[in-house]
Amino acid sequence: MIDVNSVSVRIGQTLAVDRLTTRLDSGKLYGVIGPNGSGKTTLLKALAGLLPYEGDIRIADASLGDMPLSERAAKTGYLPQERMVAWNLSAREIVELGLMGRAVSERAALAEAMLERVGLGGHAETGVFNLSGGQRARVLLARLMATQCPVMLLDEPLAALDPAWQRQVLRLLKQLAADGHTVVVSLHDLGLAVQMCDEVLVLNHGHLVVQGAPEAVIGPEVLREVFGLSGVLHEGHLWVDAEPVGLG
Amino acid sequence: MIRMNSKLIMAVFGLLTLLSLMGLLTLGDVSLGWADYTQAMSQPESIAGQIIWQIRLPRNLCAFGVGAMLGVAGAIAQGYFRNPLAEPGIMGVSAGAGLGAAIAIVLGLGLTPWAVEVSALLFSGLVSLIILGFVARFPDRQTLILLGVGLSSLCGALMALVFNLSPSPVTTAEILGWMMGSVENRSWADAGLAVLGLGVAALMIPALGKGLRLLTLGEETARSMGVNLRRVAAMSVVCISVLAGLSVAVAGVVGFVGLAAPHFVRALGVKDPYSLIWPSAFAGGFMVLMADSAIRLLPTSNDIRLGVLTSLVGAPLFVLLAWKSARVWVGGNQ
Repeated sequence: MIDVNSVSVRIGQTLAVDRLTTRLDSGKLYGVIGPNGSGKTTLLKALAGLLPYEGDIRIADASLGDMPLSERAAKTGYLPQERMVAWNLSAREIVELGLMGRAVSERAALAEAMLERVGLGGHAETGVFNLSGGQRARVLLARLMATQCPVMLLDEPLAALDPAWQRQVLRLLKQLAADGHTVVVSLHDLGLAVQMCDEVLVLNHGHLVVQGAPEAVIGPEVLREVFGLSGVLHEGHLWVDAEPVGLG
Repeated sequence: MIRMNSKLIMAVFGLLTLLSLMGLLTLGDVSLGWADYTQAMSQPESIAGQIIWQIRLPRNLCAFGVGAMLGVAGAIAQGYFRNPLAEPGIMGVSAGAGLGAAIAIVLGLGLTPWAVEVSALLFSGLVSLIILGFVARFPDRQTLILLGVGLSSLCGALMALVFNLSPSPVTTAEILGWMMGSVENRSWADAGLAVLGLGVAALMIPALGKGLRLLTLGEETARSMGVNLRRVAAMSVVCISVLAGLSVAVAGVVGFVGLAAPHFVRALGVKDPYSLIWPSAFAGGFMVLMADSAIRLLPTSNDIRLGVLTSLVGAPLFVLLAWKSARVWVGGNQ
């Protein structure tokens, strides 16, 4: 469980997140949505303890700012947007990086089990440079899942994935949430956010515009004011006109 | 392609090194027979004993030690900077050590015991302190690389000034000889410097393991998994500086080994930036040992310098390796 109390984050001179307050419970999959520059990545980085912030972030009642690095790492797992891998390690070796706290004898089997879950069971010994962008994204997701952190923060994990794997990854994340993790994921696909997330946080200009069940909060007004789109949410599906409308 | 794990690579290079060290004791200007070797073993103070114990063995051990230091420094540099082109000289420490040696020589201290080595170490230490000062404020690798380029250029310019002000062609030739690297006439004390460098590295390397491994996935992932980047940067700088500085102090500038040794280990199948550190030591040590042996075997009127040969032999091999790996690297991070 994460409590965020009036958190602001500055990137240079820009106030990227502005006095944001929210509560994120265990057992739920949260989608962070908003247009480019709305503060999604900044919020996730702040929750991971990677950016200095004003205000208070508490994870299971412990202040994130006061946590030693090792405790913070044990509580929060973070998957960055950037998928750069410096060396041509095998998929198994990459996943094992998420298992450094475990006994060496356990790591290989656990890593291979995680790779199975992301559909790469047959690629454990393949070098990541020899995998496609989507496969590599799934290897990195498996690395995060292997950490078993109570809080998992994922910045656009669906980028580079084909439509089927976008859904499959969200199902995996939903399963992690069902297992008791707090899973927070930034997304651009509003349709998937509506269909798969338990709650969404709509950000705009660093502000939390609204938070709640997707059907309850993504209405024509939010679509128009935040995303510059004209559309409606109908029976779990988002209908959006082809032409975006101006934000004014 | 052959795939070996790090222990097997160390075992293979270790065995090759041991056999080479034994074989190389027979190599030298004076040819020795079995009786001489027996005498050398039983009477170390005999002439044969002095040739073996005071000339050949220290030289061979220095060659291996210098290569091992450069291999370790190169592996740490590539791991920390996440750059396959990184090598021990990337931060300007080697250039600083070379400048220190040149200044000692130009001041007429070339024949004073330890003066050149100490001066090389002092200057490499000075460069390291400047780098550590920057690390304390800016621990990111780009800043360090830029700083290293700047410091290398400055040391290069000062080196040119030393040549410019050199009092005689003999002094200039002496500096040039140092810059081209050699382990000729090295003593047990020089071999001890190599052991010192590798000992310092052995103490620090285990603490670098998690950081170097997780930096494979970038700084954000590493930090999110509890890596203190400032600490990893500072420890990497200290390790690389000590090893690069000591290698220049012992043997002058021996190029290419620090760059190539980790790549040879990668080509044998070890990709993990931590696991390849010690195999790179064995690979680098073996490379320099072989290069130094070749110098003694080549029928040239003037001895080819060690640094010249390592680059002459290593560079084409490295180009071949790069050619074979190009597809993987190019496809790696698109």
